[in-house]
Amino acid sequence: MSSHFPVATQTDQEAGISLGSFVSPAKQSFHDSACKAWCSWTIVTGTPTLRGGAGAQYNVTSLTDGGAGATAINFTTNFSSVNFTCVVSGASIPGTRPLIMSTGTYAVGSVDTATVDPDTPFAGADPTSEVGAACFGDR
Amino acid sequence: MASAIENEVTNGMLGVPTLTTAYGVLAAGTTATGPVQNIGTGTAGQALAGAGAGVLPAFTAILATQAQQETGTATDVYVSPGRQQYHPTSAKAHSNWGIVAGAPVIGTSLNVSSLTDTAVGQITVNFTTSFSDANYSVVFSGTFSSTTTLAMTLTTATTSTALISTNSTVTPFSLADSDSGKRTSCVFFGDQ
Repeated sequence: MSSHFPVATQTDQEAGISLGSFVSPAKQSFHDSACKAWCSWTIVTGTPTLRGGAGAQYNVTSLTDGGAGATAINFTTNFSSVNFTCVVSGASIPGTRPLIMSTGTYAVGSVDTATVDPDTPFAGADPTSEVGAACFGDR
Repeated sequence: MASAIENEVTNGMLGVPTLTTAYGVLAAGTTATGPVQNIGTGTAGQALAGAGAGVLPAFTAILATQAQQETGTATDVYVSPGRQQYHPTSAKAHSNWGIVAGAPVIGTSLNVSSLTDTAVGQITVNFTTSFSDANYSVVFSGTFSSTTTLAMTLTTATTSTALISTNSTVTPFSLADSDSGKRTSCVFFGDQ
């Protein structure tokens, strides 16, 4: 490929304005619009457990059990700062009541999620439904 | 002084019908000893693409346009950083924020020019580049005020703004500001 059409660098992708370079599979994830990490999990006998095998999560190496309703997502490749966006799904104890999911403390290598019972504010509760998360930002 | 080869080419002695396209790319003729063919120069940004045996290569556009990204079906063009976000799978905007002294403070964002404190429990997200219509999707988490859990909802969507409400879960239908933790998050998908 000639120098007129270079492969986009990480910097090109993060700036997101170049029309003179090509995006390779290895660099696509560095664009601001690309999801930087995602996963889903269920609580199995009190322990958060990633659903599926390889390909069922992206840039997530493990989950950490922080107690009832508290699960930390650990990233394979860290974010560049703690200022990233993470959205988490709703959750429930099916047939009983819905739960509210939120994010808690952000670190470059992990983000805490909290699942609480809206009837008892700030009281953590393990969901029995599948839950998921997706994170966007710079890494 | 022109070389002998240049004179022969200019005078058609090599069988070249014309070389009127300056800087044009030359290809061999239709036979091993046939005339040279002039492919031309193409236009800026085009690349020379082969078409297989017996077919003259041609200059063609290879960078995906916004329309091609939005359709998402082309397999013969390449994506550039400036067009990647137009694919339907790309988030068009995202942001997280906390409320500090009654005002929203952004943690990070994409395509969000500012947040407006519209009312207690209501934040207007202002987009840098508008959506093409108001039928976009927004996903968000639950969040917290200083005293309770909050459920987030999309109240009003326009092409350039989204009014996000944070609703108390212990006092139904009442709005409350989220706390200062920058964990009130939303991500937008749609067409720009």
